[in-house]
Amino acid sequence: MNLSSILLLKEYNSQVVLFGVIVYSIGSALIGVFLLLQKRLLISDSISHATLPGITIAFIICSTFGLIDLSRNTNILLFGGLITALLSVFRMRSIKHNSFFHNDILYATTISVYFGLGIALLGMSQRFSQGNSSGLLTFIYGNTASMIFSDAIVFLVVSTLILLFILVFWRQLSIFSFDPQYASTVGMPVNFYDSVMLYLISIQTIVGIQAVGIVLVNGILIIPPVAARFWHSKLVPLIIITIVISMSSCYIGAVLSAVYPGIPTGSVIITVAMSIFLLSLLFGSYKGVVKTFISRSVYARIVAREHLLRRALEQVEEEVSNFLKKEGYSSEQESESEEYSTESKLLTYASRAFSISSIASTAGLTRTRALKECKFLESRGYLTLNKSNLTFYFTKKGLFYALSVLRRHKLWELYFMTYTNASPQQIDFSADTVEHAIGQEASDELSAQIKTKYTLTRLLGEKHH
Amino acid sequence: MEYKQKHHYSPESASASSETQAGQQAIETKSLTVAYNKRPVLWDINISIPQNSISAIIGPNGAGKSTLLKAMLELIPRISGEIRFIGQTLSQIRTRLSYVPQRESVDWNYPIRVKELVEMGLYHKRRIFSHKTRTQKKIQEQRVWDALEQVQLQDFARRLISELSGGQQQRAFLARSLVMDPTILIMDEPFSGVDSATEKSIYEVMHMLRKQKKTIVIVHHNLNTLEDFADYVVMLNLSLIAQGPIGTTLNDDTLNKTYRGKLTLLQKAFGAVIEKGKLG
Repeated sequence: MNLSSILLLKEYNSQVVLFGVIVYSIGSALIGVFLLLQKRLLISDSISHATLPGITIAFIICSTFGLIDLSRNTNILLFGGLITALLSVFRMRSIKHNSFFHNDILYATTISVYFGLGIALLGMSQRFSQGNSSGLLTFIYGNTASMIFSDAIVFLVVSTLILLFILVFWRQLSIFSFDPQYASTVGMPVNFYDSVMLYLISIQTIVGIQAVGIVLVNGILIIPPVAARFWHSKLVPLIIITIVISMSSCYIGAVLSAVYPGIPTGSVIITVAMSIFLLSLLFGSYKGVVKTFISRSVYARIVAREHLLRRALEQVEEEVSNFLKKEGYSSEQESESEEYSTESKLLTYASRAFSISSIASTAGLTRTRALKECKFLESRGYLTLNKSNLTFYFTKKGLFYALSVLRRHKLWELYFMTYTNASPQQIDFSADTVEHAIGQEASDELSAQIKTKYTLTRLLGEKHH
Repeated sequence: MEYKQKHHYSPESASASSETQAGQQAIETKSLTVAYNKRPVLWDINISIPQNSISAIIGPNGAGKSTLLKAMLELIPRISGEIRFIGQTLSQIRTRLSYVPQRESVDWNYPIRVKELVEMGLYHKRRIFSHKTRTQKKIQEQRVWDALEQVQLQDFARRLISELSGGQQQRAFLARSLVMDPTILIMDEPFSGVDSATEKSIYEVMHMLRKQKKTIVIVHHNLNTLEDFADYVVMLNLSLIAQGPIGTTLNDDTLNKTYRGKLTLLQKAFGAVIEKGKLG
């Protein structure tokens, strides 16, 4: 087979399949996002499993009475499935309203009980009925290739209904999904939205059964929204990303199964979706594993460096204030000229050698980590390292940098202590934008406080800010 | 504050205020009974909370305080009894009533921003297909910002609710209720696990609402801070133990009955202090 004809699916049958799965994927994505938000991802799994008894009973009835040629028309069987599915959904809802059961108990029991019942009935139908019930197995595993044009049209209708429902009741659904209790206190017809939603989920699940199978149909609904969660934190983009993921898994899945005709399309689609999920989990821009890990370790290094510098300066600060005390200075009485002399004194003090291991221990770092960060700081021209006895000297640039770090930390700390309204999430010690984040007014006020409190910052930090 | 005047003089609220007779209680329940299976959680509750008050519902854990609020708001069914808000049923007064649930009842990882959460409070003022003029939209936008400012969250409007501290989450809920401009505000343990800034802003909001002749009802846990803000108290333990103005209702006897001797020494001492204060 030639590749372009596969990719573009030139064959009529493939076109129908592709059109069908893509239309189906849109409806699934829309439903799936709301299932994710309402924390009931397993409801469609319960629904699909609950169809099996209905499908089998319908088969037994039809084949016993010879009503319909089942090899050609399977819609009557799905209708039977719809009845048991709706039965299970609304039974679950009534149990939930009248008991202390959580969703997961309901879904777990529904899945196993209905599926078990269905399998038992399936065995019975093979014994007692005249019809050939082996075709029923396609409902369990699905057979996408058998999709015909009218199936695709059914997908289109159902997806359009879902889209319309969500567009019309957008506000209500987003409130209801977030806070159902609030929705009912403001007098929303919560039960109405919930019921319509349940009908739509049921129908969407059931029409997908023939293509993807009872076992896998849930995957198409739930994997794309879960993957999308790793890309965005807002509802509308979340839905769009879900649709994109859902559509591309369906397209890639359909193409792949055209290349390897032996493998059922449904399972290929799910595998592709799962791969996209794994990629999203790893590389997602919103809380993806790699991004989180990188930003965490970058941040850990920044913090380690800043603590290192800060501890070194605090050693100097202690020495300077001891010196000033000895000389009889107090922070109130200081003339300009004396300030300059203390500044030169300070520079003398700060230009001494610092032992890396002693600073590492006060900063809570291992010696190797401290050395690593010192090397980095040296490469930036902040320090001069002496590797033989593991000490470092500040360069002039490095000293001013360390002072600005110290000043920034103190600003944040004071800000958080002074303004009780501040939230911990607002604070970013490593950000150079303190003034921007807390506002110029607060920053000026706090700088004044720092000036009177900290000798070192008073003497030097001001000149460079 | 132009929009507020407009709101008050609209024909809708004019008819509503004519129904608000001075003699009516803000909340009145008659023989309210709630049960799970056959075990009653609330038994024959007859409370009447006066208008324009800050009322606290107190009682030990499991006394049915939250259940009482939920039953009043018909979030859980009742076995028997009747509930009236300013003489009206819940469905008649719904748009003038607001409920701040316990913080734990919500999924805080939901992808929604603070401002969007507060805008939910405008829901009942909107119809699905109604056309809104630009001024109406502007007024609504202004209401949202006013509410955010009242709870000092204006700088956090764009933030996801998962990025807020516990106290800020509580304030965001409060802002959603303020946007509704409710006549009766009901809060379930608003002070549980919040910082002092949030406590302060809840106090401020409560006092502001009382000044505007609104009624505030809260479920409260800390007896020590009760007197700081409440002027009416409902003491509950399965059935109604006592209710009335805080000065005459809260005493050793009623506290003992409410907490069935389960009060800690400290709380007992507090009860004694109140008693003394009353005598002296």
